[in-house]
Amino acid sequence: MKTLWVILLDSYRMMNARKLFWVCIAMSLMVGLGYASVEFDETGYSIGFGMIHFENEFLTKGSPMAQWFYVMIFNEFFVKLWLGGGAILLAIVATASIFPELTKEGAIEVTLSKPVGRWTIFLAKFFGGCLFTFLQSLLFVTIVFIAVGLRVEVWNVTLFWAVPLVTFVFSMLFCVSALIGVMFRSEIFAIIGTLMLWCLSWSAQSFELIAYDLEVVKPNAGYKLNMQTAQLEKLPKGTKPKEPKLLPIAQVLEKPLPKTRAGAELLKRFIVFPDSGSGLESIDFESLRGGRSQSSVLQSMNKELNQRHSTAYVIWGSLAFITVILAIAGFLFVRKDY
Amino acid sequence: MSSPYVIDISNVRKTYSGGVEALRGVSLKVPRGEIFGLLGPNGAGKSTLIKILMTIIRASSCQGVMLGQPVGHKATLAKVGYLPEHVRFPEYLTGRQVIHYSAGLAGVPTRYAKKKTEELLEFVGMKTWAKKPMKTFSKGMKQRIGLAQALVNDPDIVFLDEPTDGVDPKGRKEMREALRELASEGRTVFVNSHLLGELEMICDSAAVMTQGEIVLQGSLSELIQSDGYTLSVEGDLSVDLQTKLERMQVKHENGELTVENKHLAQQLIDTLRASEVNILSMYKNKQSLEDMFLDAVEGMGPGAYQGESKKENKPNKEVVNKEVVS
Repeated sequence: MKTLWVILLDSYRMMNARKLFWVCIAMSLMVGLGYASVEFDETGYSIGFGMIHFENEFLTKGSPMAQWFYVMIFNEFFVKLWLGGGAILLAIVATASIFPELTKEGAIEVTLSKPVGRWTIFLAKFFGGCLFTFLQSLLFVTIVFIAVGLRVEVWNVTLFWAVPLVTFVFSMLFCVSALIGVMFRSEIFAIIGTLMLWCLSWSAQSFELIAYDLEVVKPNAGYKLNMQTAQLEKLPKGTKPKEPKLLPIAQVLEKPLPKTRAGAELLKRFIVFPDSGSGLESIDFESLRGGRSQSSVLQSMNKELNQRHSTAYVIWGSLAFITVILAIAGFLFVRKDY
Repeated sequence: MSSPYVIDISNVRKTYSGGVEALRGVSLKVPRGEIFGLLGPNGAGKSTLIKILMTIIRASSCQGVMLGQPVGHKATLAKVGYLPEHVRFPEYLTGRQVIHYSAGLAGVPTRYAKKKTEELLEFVGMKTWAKKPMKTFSKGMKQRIGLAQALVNDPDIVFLDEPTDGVDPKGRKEMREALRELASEGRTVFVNSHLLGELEMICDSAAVMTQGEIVLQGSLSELIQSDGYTLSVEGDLSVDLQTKLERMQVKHENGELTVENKHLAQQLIDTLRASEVNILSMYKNKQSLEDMFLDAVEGMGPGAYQGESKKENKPNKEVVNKEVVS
């Protein structure tokens, strides 16, 4: 236990000494403060702590719509773009050097010559890397928690689910970084390999999502997508859904990969805001952009699509991936001569 | 009663994938409480042997014990210190933090580690630099911190791989003094080096390794054995005397007479005095560690063993595998 603490402390010191760590923390801080800078008053809302003001008769201080708006921008922008994307990308870059640095000639000898098992060293370094994302997201979520509490008077502790969930999504990718780092002792290879895996995983999940939507969700609801016009068309009554062709292929591709996208989307399941009373909860950014609310059919189709995978499937499927990759990386680290 | 040897290993082999034989059946005994030097040309397998003892490399085969436990026993490493060659500490740590980190990994209790760290900083002369990050240190300063971190767990045996490599003469002298002090405390110091002059000044015993084999091992006094006596005399020797000396198997060159042992030396002195020859000086010939080393590795190429076909013809020397550890 003491060894684990010593290695974690060293990981923290390493991060602390790197400029990139502070750049990431500063960015998290800025993004968090950017969110916190949205304010509501009696005549509308402002951004940049009152620097730019927009008059709006609905988005006013204390209005249910303001609460909905504030939560919506968090879900649509900050969860999707920052927690599920930007923050993880920065963390991948910032932590890619952990294993190459550990295994460098002259450094690894000192560590391995101590009465500590190699598995302990390997796992402690892995968790040390995860600590980076943990701290980064903790800072961000704390700011968001305070901002939501002050702006719309909702003190929502479920926001803190974002910390373990984002760390979990990061760990799906960091285990690949660890494997490549141990194999090639190269920071650049670790970054490139991890980003490639992320892209592959994202593509496979998107393919599976589209295939499920076109071959299961829409036919079940009695619709099909006209590929020429990109419009939904109602199927003639009594039409039986066709046997899916693309979906089985998509599922084979998606299943063994980490569920990074679905993992980030779990945030929406875990972070639950109380009903604002505005009646706008079903409206998301896409609806706003389209200038109209979704029909109940579309809402129900989206719901089915978003809930096609259970939380257990996403978590256990990704945990299996992490375990396998970590086992390979750890085995290589443990068996290698340095 | 504990063994007189802290390391007693035999048949240590390491063959890398690709067939390179780094170690070919090394057997070694290191006496307790001594400074032991492992000599050898670059690529001889010295570092590989140390790394096997430190569990950094897995041996293809290894029999024997270190500190009474089989080689590879992790817990034993709590009583072992190690300063690797080309050591690289995290640049973001200060000298003090490096020693603390090492103590933490070695399982040294925190309070004791703090006290010990301060003592060691004093011991290696780095007290005033303790708060500075490693990136600001010279090679010699890094080696000092390296030595300190190797000692933080009060080891029974300390392995130092090329400890004076890149260190200035003053630093080397201080390092030698430090090693002597460690030995005087009853610790065994295992020094791996190709700087023979350095080792000659501090080692109690040594072994010579080349192409993955120990070719010579023993106490330094026996390894650097007497090679006869030389007398220098005044003036020319008469023809009569020269004939006598030839019969006595005395070598005569440039006014210096050399005999193989002390009995012949006594006879030579008597003969010279009887012939009224002035003796200017007399000294015992001593083989240097370098001579011994060169003699031991004569005919061997550098690097690891490459197979019989590539090995140069090695003369059948008497010293090969001669065990003279008493």
